This record gives sequence, structure tokens and C-alpha cells, in this order.
Amino acid sequence: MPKRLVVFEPSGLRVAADASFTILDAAREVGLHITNECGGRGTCGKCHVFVEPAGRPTRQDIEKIPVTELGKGARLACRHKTSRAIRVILPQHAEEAKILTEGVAGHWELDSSLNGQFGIAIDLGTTTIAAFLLDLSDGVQLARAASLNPQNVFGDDIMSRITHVMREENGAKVLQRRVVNELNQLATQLIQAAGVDAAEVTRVAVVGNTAMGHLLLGTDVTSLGLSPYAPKIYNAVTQRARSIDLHIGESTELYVAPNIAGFVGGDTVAFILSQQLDSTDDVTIGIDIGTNGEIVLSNHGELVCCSAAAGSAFEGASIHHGMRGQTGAIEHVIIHDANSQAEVTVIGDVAPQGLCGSAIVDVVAEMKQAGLINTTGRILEGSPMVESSEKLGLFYRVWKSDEPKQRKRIIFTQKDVRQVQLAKAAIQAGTRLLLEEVGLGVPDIDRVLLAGAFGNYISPKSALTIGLLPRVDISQIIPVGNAAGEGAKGLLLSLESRAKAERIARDTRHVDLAAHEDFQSVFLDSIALV
Amino acid sequence: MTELATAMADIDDQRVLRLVETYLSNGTDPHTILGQLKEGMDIVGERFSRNEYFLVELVMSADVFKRAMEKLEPALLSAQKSSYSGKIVIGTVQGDIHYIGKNLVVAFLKSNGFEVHDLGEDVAPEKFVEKLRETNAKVLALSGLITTTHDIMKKTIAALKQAGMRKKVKVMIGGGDIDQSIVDYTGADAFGKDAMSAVDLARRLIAETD
Repeated sequence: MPKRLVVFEPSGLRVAADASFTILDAAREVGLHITNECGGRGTCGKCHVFVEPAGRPTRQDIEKIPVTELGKGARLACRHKTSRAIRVILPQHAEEAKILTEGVAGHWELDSSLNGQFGIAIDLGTTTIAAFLLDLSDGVQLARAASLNPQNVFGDDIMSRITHVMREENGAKVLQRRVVNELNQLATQLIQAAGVDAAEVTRVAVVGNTAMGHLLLGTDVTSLGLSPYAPKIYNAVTQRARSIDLHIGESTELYVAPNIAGFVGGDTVAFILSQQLDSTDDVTIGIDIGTNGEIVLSNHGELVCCSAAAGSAFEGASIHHGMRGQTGAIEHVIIHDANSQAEVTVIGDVAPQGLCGSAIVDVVAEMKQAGLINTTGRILEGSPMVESSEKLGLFYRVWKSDEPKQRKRIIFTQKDVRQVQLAKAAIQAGTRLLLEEVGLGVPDIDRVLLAGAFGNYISPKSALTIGLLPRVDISQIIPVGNAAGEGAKGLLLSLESRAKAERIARDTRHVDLAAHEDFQSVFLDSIALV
Repeated sequence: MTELATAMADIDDQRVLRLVETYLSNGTDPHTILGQLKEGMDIVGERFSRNEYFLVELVMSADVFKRAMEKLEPALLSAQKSSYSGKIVIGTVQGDIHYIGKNLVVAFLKSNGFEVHDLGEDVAPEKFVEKLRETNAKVLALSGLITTTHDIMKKTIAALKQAGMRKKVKVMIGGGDIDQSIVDYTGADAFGKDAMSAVDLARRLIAETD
């Protein structure tokens, strides 16, 4: 299948997309989220973008988009294929222009004399791995691949992986081998997709949390498992890829980004780098919400950070009907009326199977606004949507099948509300203590950047309602997609950004929440849904 | 229910402290006062089990109880009557500095008449052994929030064995992610899932050592 260059504005992100892809697919390739409610069927009209050059409008374009807009090149992203090189302007991301153009994601100071050389940038997460193959001479992304981190058989979270290493004699080796094998496969996949020669791939750059970086390099992680959680490696590591059995080219060089602390690693450095938080002239908070939420505060370039143990509620893991954000997951919930069924949107054109992170945040926010829970998080009785059972206690019925024979339903229990409260309190307490650290308050915040998949898909309104994000105006909340992955690309392409990463890792002050004397009081104070 | 028990159950700190002072000054038996506080704490525990209260209320109640006990303790000591349930040594194991859960267990044990020796957080195995020897306590309670601390619990219990005290001391564990398999792994005797069940467990273990 031929590939066509698609450039997205205002982010400047570019991708060589299959000609069979829709613009919506191509946007997903680069991790950009285009709002759509119908799952790409051309019925909701939410995904309209501006295309240059714009092809002939389809029937759905004409139905959904005002004539004046059509004339300016507005088209539905889900209805147009990337059958030629195009430039796509995302109106929904217009407010992001500030960071993404100034933030220069994708505009790196490229190293010279790298003609005919390629590189692979890797965002090595605890759960997923994203890898990108780029042309080192011009920074154009030629292929992208993703997979699950195969270390997950030893547990979903970092701590269970560390426990495995502590307990098993060859634990560290086994974990290293698993991830290296996966990276070898991803590299092969990328090289094939891009149609380049393995010998031409001269660089690999990896960003990951501290433990993932250590495990990849085969470094002892025992110290990361126990307080004070000190890393063995702080600085960036550059060595031959072959030395860890990563077989790409004979002399391919491996770069692993530097770490800030035991739970704030190279992925956070990459986030800071890609969003240029080290040189902002305002007050910006960057949040990457995962099992370990990393929070960075830039006060005109002065950086402080912390990690907040949010647990797995937002990944759906500790929620009764929780699931990952995939086909069949309810992704958004609106409660119009406390006494009747909520409106839900589902990923894909299928019956709902569960709730993913964005819906979990919605449910709590909407229940609060509909008066179905009080500020302490207690579910209130009285609505026909609230039921109780011996085993589960009180629960809210989010969805019930219309089919008379099916009894399938999706519920949200009192315990689920509690899990969300604990998770959001951890993030909220982290944000508050960072602000306190630099002597600022919520009114001083100019921007809140949300990194990562979860940050990209949650409703900012719901996140504000439950207090997961500091109370700023909704226009100040900016999803930035896979900011760590963007940073990894910069570290792949540019020695100047590697030098900058080294400075960021050294100059960012880490606040240890668990050891902070105010943590308990601020954490407890953050549990309430006010 | 008495006024004091109600105030304690409702976590009305001002009223609890005022009532304790009033009762002490008009000569009420300090054990009667303690009994009413305990009755209130029991209701807090029940409300928690029924999901009416959450972590915040639990921690607040423990704090109110602690402040009330500070007023009550001198009178209890001079009254010298035993409402005594037994001695317990407790702490968060080495390599872990989490304390919220452990402090709740301490408060609930105290409200139930246990003499609690709290060694704090990040406690080395030998410190536990030393304290058990010094106090002659029959129960050791170990807390650890993160999976990695299970190995430290195991190490602590091994140190107990090495000191020749394992047979005399019952060990209960608690924290995050703890179930029977962790009891087996660490070599402990039992686990508690929350502060309320820790009290029943401590009673049972002490009865077993007698």
C-alpha cells in the first residue's frame, strides 16, 4: 500500500499514512485525538477538520457541515482517505496552538550529516510500548508500532515486577529478556513497514519510567522497591544496542533517557522536553495520569515534580465493571436526570461491556452533579437508578440492555466511588503540594497539560468537577497526547535535546510525597468531592 | 446511647473533649468514660463497614480519640483498674514509610484497651525484636503498604525466629494487597483487612497465647 505524507496543524505532527487510511485513522497514528461520537460512521459530524487540498465533499460532508465552512475546506475526518499528501488543520486543537507550535513538538534541532540514516524512538511503558521509526535526516516519521509490555505476566504494576526481581534469582534477566525480545520484534515490524534496511537504523532512543529503564538495561531494581526508592541510574545511558541483545544494525547505538527520581523517570523528562516546560514564561502544570501519576510544575521554567500513587482505578482495574479503553467500553456518560437512564457513548458499534477510565471519571462527576452522591462520596438512595444488594451495597445503574431476554447491565458501586476518590485525592494532593512548594496557588496556574492516553480522552469538565484537576478555567486544560513519545523522538533526532534532557533531569526538584509532612492532611482533605 | 458515645460516633471533636473534661472534673470513673468513647468508636467502625463513613472519617475519629485519651490517660493510670486487653508491638516495616493505616490500627487497638507500643515507620527487624523482649508483648503487628514489603515482613519474622522468640509471639500483618497467601509467604499467623478486624484478630491471638 502506498504511503502519503499527512501533516497535522497546529501541532506540526507528520505521518506517512497508508493511502487506505482515513484522516481520522492517520490522526490516531500520531496520537492526536479528533472528537467523534459515532465511531467514524459519518453520522455525528463532530470530526470536521480543514483539509488542504480539500477533495470533493461527500454526501455526509454536505449534510453535516455548513456551506461556508465547506468552502474553506472543512471535511469530516472519518469520510476522507489520505490518498494524497495533505495538510490537516484541527479546529478543536486551535487553543493548543500555543504549546504545540511554541512547544515545538516535532520541530527539533536536527543533527546534520545523517542522510540515509534512520532511528527508532521508543516509549517504554509499564503497560504498553509505542515505537516510531523516523528518518534522522529530516525528522519525518515513517512507521509506528505498538504492543503490550510482555513483562505484564509478572504483574500489571511496577511494584510486582520489582518484587519478582527481588524474589527470583534470575528475575532481572528474565524481565530484561522479555522486553528486549519485544523491542526486537517491534523493530523488525517498523523496518519492514518503512521499507528501510536494518543496517541504516543507526540510533534507538528509549524513554520510560525509572523501573522500566533499569529493567531494560539489566540494572538492579531492588532499591526502587523500598523507601527511599533511590534509582541506581540517574544519567542518560548511551551504549551499543547489541550489548543488551537488541539486534538491529551491527553498530546501532542505544540511548536511554535520564531519570529524576525512583518514580519520576525518563518519560517525564521527555514530557518536559517535548512541551518545553523548562523554558516556559508562565505557570504550567503537566500531569500524566497512570497507575503512578507524574506531576510536573513549571514556574517560569523552574521545575518541581512528584509522583502520586493513584492506583489502577483510572485504568479500570479496581472498578467493578471497569475495562481498558477498547471496543465495547463506554467512554463517556451523561446523566441528564437522576431518575432515568444515563446517556452513554461506546467505543465501536457494539453493546457496552464496561467502563473505561474516561467514563469512570464521568460517572462520578455526573452522579455528583445529579445529586446521586454527596460531597463525602456516599451514594444517596431515592432514585430508581440506585439499587443495593447484599454483596455490593449501594450501586448506580449506568446502563441496562433494552433486549428483554438479556439481563446485561453495567453498574457503578459505592466501592468504585471510593476507589475514584482515593485515586483523585492522590493526584490532587500532589498538585497542591507542588504548588505549595513554589509558593503558588491554583489562581496562579496558566495552563494544565494532560499527557498520555487517559489525559487525552477524559472529559476536562468531569475531571474538574471531581477535583482531579486544579480548578482552572476549562480553556486552560490542554491535552497533549503522547508527550513522552514526542520527547523520545526529539531525543532520537537531536543531540542538543539530549543535552537539554540531562539538564532537565538534574535541575528538576523532586518532592517525595510519601515523606512529606503535610501529605496525610492534604491527601485526606482531597478525598471529598467538593 | 450516652451523649459522649454519640459525640464520638458523630466525630464531634469539640463536644467529645468538653464532655471528657466535664466528666473527669465531676468525678466520673475514668473507665466509664473510656467505655463510652469505645462505644462511640465501635459505631464509627460499623458506619465504616456500612460505607457511611470513609477513610477521612476513620482518620478523624482516630485523631479525636487520641486527643481524648491524652486527657484521660493520667486518670486511668491513677485509677489502676484493669480494662487491660494485652500488649502489642506495632510498626511499619523497614523500607516503607506509610503510616495512615497503621495509625488507625493503633487508635482502634488503644480504644479497645490494648497497651500499644508503636515503633513508627521504616522499622528494622532488630528494633521489633528488641521491643518485644523489653515489653514481653505476645503480639507483633506488622504493616506494609506495597508488595515489596512482604519480603521485609518475612525477614522480620525470620529475625524473630532467630532470636528464639517466634513460638512465644503471634504475628499479625496488614496493609495493601494482603491475603492468606501473604500470611503463608511471610510466615505470619494471620492478617487483618482493616482497623476494626485488627482488634478482633489481636484478641484472638492473645487468647491463643494464654
